[in-house]
Amino acid sequence: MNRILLILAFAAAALHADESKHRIIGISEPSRVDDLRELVKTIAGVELVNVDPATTEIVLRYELSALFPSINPKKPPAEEAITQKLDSLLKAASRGTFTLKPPATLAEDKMEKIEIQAGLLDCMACRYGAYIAIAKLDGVEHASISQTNLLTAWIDPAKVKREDLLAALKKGRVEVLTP
Amino acid sequence: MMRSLVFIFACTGLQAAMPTAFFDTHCVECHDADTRKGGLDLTSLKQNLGDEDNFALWVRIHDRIELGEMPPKKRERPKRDEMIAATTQIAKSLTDAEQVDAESRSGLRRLTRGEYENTVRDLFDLPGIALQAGLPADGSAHGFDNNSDALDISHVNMAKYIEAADKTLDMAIATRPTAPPSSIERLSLAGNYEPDIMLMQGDAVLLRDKKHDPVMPPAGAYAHVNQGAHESLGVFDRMSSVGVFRHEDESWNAYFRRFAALYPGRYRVRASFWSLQWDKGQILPSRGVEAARLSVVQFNENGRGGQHPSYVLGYYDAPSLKSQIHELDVWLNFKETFGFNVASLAPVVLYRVGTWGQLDRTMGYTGPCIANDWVEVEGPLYDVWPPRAHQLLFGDLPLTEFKEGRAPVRLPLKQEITGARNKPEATDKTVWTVQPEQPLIVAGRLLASFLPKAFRRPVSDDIRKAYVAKCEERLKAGDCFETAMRWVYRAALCSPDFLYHVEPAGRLDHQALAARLSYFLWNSTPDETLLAQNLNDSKTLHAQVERLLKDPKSQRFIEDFLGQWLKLRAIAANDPDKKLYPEFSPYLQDSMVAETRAYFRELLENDLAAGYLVQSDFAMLNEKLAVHYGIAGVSGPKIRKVKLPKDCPRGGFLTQAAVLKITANGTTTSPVVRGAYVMARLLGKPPQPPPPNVPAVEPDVQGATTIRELLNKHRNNSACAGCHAEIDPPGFALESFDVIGGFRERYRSNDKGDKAPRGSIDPKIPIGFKLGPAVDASGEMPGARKFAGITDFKTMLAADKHLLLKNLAQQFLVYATGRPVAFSDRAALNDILTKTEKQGGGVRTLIHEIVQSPLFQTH
Repeated sequence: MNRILLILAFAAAALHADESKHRIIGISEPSRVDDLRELVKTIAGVELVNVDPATTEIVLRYELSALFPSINPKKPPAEEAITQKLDSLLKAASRGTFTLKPPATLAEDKMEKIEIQAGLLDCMACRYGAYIAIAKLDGVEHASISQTNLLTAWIDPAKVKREDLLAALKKGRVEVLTP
Repeated sequence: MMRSLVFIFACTGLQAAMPTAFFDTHCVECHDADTRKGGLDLTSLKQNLGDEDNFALWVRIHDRIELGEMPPKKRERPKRDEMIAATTQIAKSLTDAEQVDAESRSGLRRLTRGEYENTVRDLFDLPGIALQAGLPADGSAHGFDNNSDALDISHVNMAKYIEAADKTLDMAIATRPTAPPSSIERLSLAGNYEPDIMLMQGDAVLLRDKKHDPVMPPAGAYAHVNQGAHESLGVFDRMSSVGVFRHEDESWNAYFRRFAALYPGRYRVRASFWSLQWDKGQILPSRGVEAARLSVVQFNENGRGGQHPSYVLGYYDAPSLKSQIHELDVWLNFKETFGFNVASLAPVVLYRVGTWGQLDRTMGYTGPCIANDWVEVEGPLYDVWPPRAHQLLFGDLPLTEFKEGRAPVRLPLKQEITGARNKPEATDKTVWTVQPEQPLIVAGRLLASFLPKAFRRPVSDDIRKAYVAKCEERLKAGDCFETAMRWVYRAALCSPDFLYHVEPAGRLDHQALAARLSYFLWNSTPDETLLAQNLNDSKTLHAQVERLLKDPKSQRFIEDFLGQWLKLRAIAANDPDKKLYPEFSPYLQDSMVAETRAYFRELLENDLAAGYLVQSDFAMLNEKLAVHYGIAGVSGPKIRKVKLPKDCPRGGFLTQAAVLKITANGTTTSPVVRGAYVMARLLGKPPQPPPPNVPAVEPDVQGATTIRELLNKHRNNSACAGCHAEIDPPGFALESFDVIGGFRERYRSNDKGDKAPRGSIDPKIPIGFKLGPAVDASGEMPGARKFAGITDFKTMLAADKHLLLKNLAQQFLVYATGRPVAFSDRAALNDILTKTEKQGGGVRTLIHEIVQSPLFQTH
């Protein structure tokens, strides 16, 4: 009898604590990883398992019952709905500075690395502003900005080009020193 | 051709006998049909004194003979007995004519917009309800808007009175059993749309612990990028202080948009300010005490956009590096918040790199800065619930849950201002209202209390019953008690008993006298204390005048009276030319008005004599005005009494910047306009309007010709010379002052002239004007009284204290009684003056004597 109960408990745990892998937009520079960790702690039922700043891939653990309080165990939500829910929770907690997108499908060696030296950006928020101008473009797989305002982006060359990045920066009023 | 006047002056009734022999001997030679000197033909002058214009003409004839101005000095002088006989005869005719028409002299008059608003505020204890702007503008007669001649009423007025009554009742009637929760909100200037733009661009800087906040360093060569990113990352949410370099202008105002009042009521506001000298990123002690301005802003619609209506709460000290907290009690209406401005700073815009000589925006700038740590709003504050306004309408009836029938209308309260974070508390849909078991009996009781207060006099049973009948009618129609009573109260607030000054003919009764006194000195309804006094007792009346003058509400009298007597309401009628007067600012303008009001208060408090109207050894100044006047040693925005240096041309109303600005057009000054103002407002001798078809004298702003030279040509015309000999001299004396009241020895020019020195103009303000011809402020008053300049002129005027006092008495009387001073009032007026002068001739004494006089106490 005890063994049956134990099996049931494990089954319940497996049902209610799942993990999912995503890419995240918002890690403009290493210090933003700490921001992300602190922020996820404020979301009930969600845990940050792992984050790779280089690829901006993260693993989130979550309790379905926390994400969907009125869930019907017989009809678990689709993966897409779970991602949407996690995304909306992250956006709300971060005032839109962190958003999820699906894991990369393009191999690293197929990506093109582009570096752009931005002009004087006075603060972290300015750097974030420059970063987000390109990070949200379709075809930018992941991006970052250094303390010296060097923007680095790994792009899918089939979808986006350097000129597109420069145009996005210009639209965001970011001075570019090395076009 | 000279005809005898005997035949013409054979008149009856209103056409009483005139001194025909005197006219024949001394006047007709110049004033007959052929000569018509000054446009006056005595041989054809109508004798009908019932005609208003004709009556006024005869008064002028009387006055000019009495003052010895006619016959002119160069002609043979009539004997004194002859003159007295002639003027006595004319005076008798004029007085008799007025007595015939005495009953209708003081018409029924309604409340002015200002009186209406103040009456509602005081009656309902809603001290900040804003009604005035929704009512049609009042007219003006005899210099004031509370004159019956100017106070007509139309269907437009009535429609607006209904709206105003509804607004009042909406605010007065409590709709919940407990008061709205009071909260304390500490607001940072950062986090609000417009200030954030300035922080991004470099016209403001985020500060923390008296240093710049490392999270957002001052903008350098480039502006900060992506305002949304800064907002999202919470850069503006750290309750950091904000140092502002940029003065507000047409395109930028700093509003605290994160708060907009939901509940109209009293709020306690604290604000923390300090100042600094910014030197390319370094924070140094400031140049002195700077002035930070707080205003109340009334958002339009959902608050988007700028340039919302506002009024100034005050100018507050921002001392160097050390924060100073200011606390004030404020009434806020729905959708109101606060605005901030660096009032004492020059209009510098840093984000236009290079425009003002600075490089790299904030990091390349050196100059003054005013910092706001926070503004804290506590409220709404109620000392009783339901509030007094509700108690006035419904006494102590309990608010209970509405059960059945047609419920009173309740609109859901919501925050309408985009970006405001304070929201209404969540409430259920329960409707709370008053529901007495015997509504008509209660209605009678409530109205017996309300109507006398609203109508400012006892109300008969018949009138009260008529209002109760209205309530009964609405109850029968299915309205609940609150709605039915709302109809009744709205009817009362739109009735003549409320809207009009109801005064009996002849001597005022007790209530009418209390009301007249209260509207004179408070611009509002009498309070219970005043109505409870026996005002027929002169000592009691004196004591009540003192009480009213000492009450803060007397400030309304000062503001309303000066607004009209000295035309202070027109202070913003024009904006000075920016090239000619670049140092002008709204802060300077507000300081001007504050000076004139404070000066009048000083005359009143210390009962100073009429000579002080034009001359004094002190002025009421703050730093802004003191610098403007070239007086050293005054620091900060607070107005205070300052002793003037011996050679200073200031002192008295005439040389106050407010008066000098009001009498100019923003570009040039005209001795004619200023002279006419002095004659009408200070000397009580309003000049006649100019004859038709005479072109105005246009000043030359190119700097080639002075206004005096232009006027001289005009005065050579004999038709103009007579009047201008009287009008122009006061204006010539005031030529020493420019359009913003600055002292000048040379005219400013935007074309020809010499390079102008900076003087006291802020070093951040570029100078584009030049110095043109020299000012000549000399002149000659009638009677060969010459003056060399403004100081001489003021001394000359101050010597005639009787004339100044007489004019002030007339102005007070017109304002206090709502009717002009009639010819037949002159004896009573002289009595007032004699009694006042015996006691030293002070302004406060004058008010007492006016209130005690039959002119004040009769309709």
